[in-house]
Amino acid sequence: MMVRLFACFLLILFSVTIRAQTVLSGKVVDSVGHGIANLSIAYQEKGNSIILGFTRTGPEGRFSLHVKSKQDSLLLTLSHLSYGKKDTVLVNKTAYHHISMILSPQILKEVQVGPPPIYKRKDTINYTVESFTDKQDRVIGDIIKKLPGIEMVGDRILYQGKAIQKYMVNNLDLMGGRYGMINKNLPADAVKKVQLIENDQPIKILDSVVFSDRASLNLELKKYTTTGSGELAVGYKPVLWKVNLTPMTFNRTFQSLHTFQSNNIGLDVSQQTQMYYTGSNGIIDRAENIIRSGGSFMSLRHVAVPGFDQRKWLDNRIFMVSSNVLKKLKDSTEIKGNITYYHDLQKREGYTYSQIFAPEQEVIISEDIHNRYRAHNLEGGMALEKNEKKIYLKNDFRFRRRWNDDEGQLLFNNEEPIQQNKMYRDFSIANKLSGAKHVGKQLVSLSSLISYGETPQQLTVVPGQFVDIVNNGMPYDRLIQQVHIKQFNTENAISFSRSINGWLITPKFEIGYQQQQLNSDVELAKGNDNWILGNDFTNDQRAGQLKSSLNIGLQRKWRKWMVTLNIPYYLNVNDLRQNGVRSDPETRSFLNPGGSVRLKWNEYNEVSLSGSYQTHYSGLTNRYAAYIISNYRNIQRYRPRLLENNAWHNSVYYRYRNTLDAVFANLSYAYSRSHRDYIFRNTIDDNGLNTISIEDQNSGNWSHRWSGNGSKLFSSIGTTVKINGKIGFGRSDYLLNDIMGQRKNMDYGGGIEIINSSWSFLSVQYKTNWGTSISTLADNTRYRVMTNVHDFDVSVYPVENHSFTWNNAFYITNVEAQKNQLFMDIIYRWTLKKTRTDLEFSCINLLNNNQYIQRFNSDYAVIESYFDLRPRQFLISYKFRF
Amino acid sequence: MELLVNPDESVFRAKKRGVLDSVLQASLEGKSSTNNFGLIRANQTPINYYIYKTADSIITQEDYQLGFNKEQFYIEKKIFDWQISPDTITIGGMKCQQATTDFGGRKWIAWFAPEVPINDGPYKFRGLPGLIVKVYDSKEQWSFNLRSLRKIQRKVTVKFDRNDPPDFMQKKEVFANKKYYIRNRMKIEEASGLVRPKDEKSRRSGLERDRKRAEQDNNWIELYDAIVH
Repeated sequence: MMVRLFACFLLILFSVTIRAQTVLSGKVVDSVGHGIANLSIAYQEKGNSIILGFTRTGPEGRFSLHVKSKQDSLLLTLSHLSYGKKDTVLVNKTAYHHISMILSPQILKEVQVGPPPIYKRKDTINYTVESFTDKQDRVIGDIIKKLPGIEMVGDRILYQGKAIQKYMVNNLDLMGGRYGMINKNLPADAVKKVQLIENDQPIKILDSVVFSDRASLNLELKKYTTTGSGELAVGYKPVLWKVNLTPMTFNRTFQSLHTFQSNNIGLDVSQQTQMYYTGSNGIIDRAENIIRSGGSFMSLRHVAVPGFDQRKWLDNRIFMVSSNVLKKLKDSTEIKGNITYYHDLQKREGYTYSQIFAPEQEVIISEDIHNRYRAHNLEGGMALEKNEKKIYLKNDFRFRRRWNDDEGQLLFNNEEPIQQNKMYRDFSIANKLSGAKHVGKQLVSLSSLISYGETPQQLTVVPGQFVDIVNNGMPYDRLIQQVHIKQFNTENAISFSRSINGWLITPKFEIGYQQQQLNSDVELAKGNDNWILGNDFTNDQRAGQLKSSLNIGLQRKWRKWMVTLNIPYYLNVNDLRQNGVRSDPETRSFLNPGGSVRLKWNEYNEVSLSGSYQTHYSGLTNRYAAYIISNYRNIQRYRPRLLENNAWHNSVYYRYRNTLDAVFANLSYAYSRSHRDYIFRNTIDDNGLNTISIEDQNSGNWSHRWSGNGSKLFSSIGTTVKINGKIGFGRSDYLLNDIMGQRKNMDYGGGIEIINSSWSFLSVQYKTNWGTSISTLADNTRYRVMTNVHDFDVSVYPVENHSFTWNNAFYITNVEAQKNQLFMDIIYRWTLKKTRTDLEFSCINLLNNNQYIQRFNSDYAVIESYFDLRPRQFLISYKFRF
Repeated sequence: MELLVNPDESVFRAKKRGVLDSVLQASLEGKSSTNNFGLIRANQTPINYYIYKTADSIITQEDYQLGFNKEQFYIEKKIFDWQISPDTITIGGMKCQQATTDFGGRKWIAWFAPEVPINDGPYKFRGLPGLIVKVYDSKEQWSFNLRSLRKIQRKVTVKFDRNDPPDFMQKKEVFANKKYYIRNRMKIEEASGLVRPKDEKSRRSGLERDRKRAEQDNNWIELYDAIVH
């Protein structure tokens, strides 16, 4: 002890002689004169709360403090857990002080610190919901779209520019990709944190075997509970209603979501049934989107819908019910079932003015459009999944039935009325079984998919069109185009994965068969006569494809690097029977190599490179040789031959992520080039009738695209800032009225979003996006379309439980006829805390804007469209929670 | 993790470890039934160090091995050289000031609350004029954050007895032992007779698991290379 004290003194002496600074020294004693050890002594300048230096008393209560300040007097703070705090003001002069303190047990203020807004634990980024919640926010989707690093494109959630692969609540995936329904209805205050799991491998048996670079999202609830949102609203004018009853239950082993929604206020709630998962090209694809509907071959002439908030323009009447349940059994098997039905009626009215630049002529068409779309949709499925470390087993069964009846009244060039009716029916059913298990040192994976579908459809046009082509120039009353498709598909695969010297090697064999039967005919009618057109308009085709492939997949991860390589070899046999005549089977074999390299060079930075070369032969649906009328002024046919496409894709992706500073950013570049051994021949006549067929002529296109996103949370001022930008250019070949041309196009744009919630009486959100696209045709005609949107939302909370929200949207375009439009909505909300309900009064489209004009470029046309908007409306709604 | 402080000493340990110790102590003293298996299982934790701080020493207890009396102790007379900076933020309503120090091969950034007269903090950190509310390394690989501060009155049983101190080892030695153990867990446990693999295959997979674990467990709070070399 003596030695140590001596050393201590020596040190002080040295400092005094070397630096001529003030040294406060002394002794702190208790009431009986004993030195107090381990007491801290800090000094600050008077009037400044920042501590400039500190020291601690030694075993005898002695201290010495070197002061760097030049101020005359200093505030010395002494603190000790047993003696409390004592402040003394001293003169800034080297001196010895004797200070005494009295034992006074401390009562500390109890402190509860919320978790930080964003923190990372292993591969999981946790967003504390409370830190991002504003008084206006009700459902979890309101929070998710504000989080730094996350963007929402429509209802799809992207993390660092890439779609999430899974959306779970308490680690269970109830909705199987249709997560919009949870996102729009789960009350935000039931959720504790939003978790983003980077590099997540959702299949446990593949965990740490097959590496993933995709992210999953999990919502951790505050407790296992029954919750959900409800809303009842009425309005004027016309008579408006909105009903939403969505109770949901999240228990340890059981989850359910039921919903009943109906409205005519412009909310297309059927979007909540959309599946957002995209399949993976890994060893096992667990996505549930196994149903493929038969395509629609015909359509009404549409009027382009405005590219902004649906509620401002969608004239709808929708009714939807859906039931979803998940049960986790004792042996960890999950059983999921769901069924959804909706009935939707939409009215779209507007006016389209098209300028088509055919070589040597310019065709101008005007169309006054009144369309009604009626849809019934029934969809359901059941899934059984056992996802364990030792075994993976999944069976998905899904079906879908659709009944669509659309009706269109059109006035062509202000003089000729044309009526169109479209009928579309679709029935599809599919089952997929997949599994994986270790056999010896290998991981064996199996999958088998089988699907069947039938899609009858019909388009009726009155009076008959294409008189020159179909009726020797003689007018007739009615044209009926019928198409009936039946399709069958099976895909089966087996793969063996094995790790050799750190490389995961996976040979995969695949065999499948696809068949499609296509029947179509065109019936014309005049008076009481009706007749069916000949061979040029009648398809009776059965196309089949036997697909087999062998893929060698390679993967390696070491330290900061990850490499994957896939070299699939395909051998396809195609057969075709047309009008009862069978042609010789055609065989195609090709390699589709692809690979990627990822470097995660430190905690924050990651870069990946990927490239692929793909050969692809046109599917079964576009081998028909007889014309099909796809709308009242479009007629199309293909050739029975196989159409070849070759494409080359390269991309670079860079990502920066610093959760401590809450900074997220990503940049990507993509180059693609494709080559085809055919080109679409477009012929447009003076009346705007478009004939599309296939020409045996090589064609191609290429493009370069750059895009980037960045976001940061400034937690001290409660503000999140997000920015995005993009630029792209490319060229593509076209053949119009027998002349080959090349279209150059370029687009660029950017946006910024600022979300502020630092004040308790006010929250502000501002978002702007602008974009420009330029097309240049072969004859150097150049079209430039610019759009710019500003959204500015302010909510004020003057008194507790009352709020006013003012939403502004300002749309700017460079269309000459269009004056820039400002939309305004006002919402007053009264929150009843006790019952956790809201009473809301809103006025939508306060300025009563009734038409929206937009202009856009298609391949060789500029289309200007006028769309009728929803008029000014008032709505009273009652919102509650389950 | 919990930091238990009284005027003379403090303990920093995993909260679950604390529960386990109390349970074991209670059953040793015959105060509770011996069948606490459920409670013990629910409180398993991979964090197996304790930090005892007295006025002049920091004593670390590492018990990563299976079996009894496997604790290893080392003592440090560490005085942190904190550089105070004028930056302040508010955490949980407390005004905090920033300080930095180098320790265990990393640069650490700490935020302390002068209004709380506790010169202590998480892990081995201490020596600032106020409680360390947040401390993290500059690479953001390790971060300790205060969740709550409460006054409790409870008897805490720890394995370190001031009056009958254990045999202290060198810090280096403990680090090297731990590294060796992680790398060769299977062999050591086999040799000690605690574990017997079912067959050669499971033995081999155990060895492989150890190798992987050792490879992954390379980012200790105090960097191995900074302590041992």
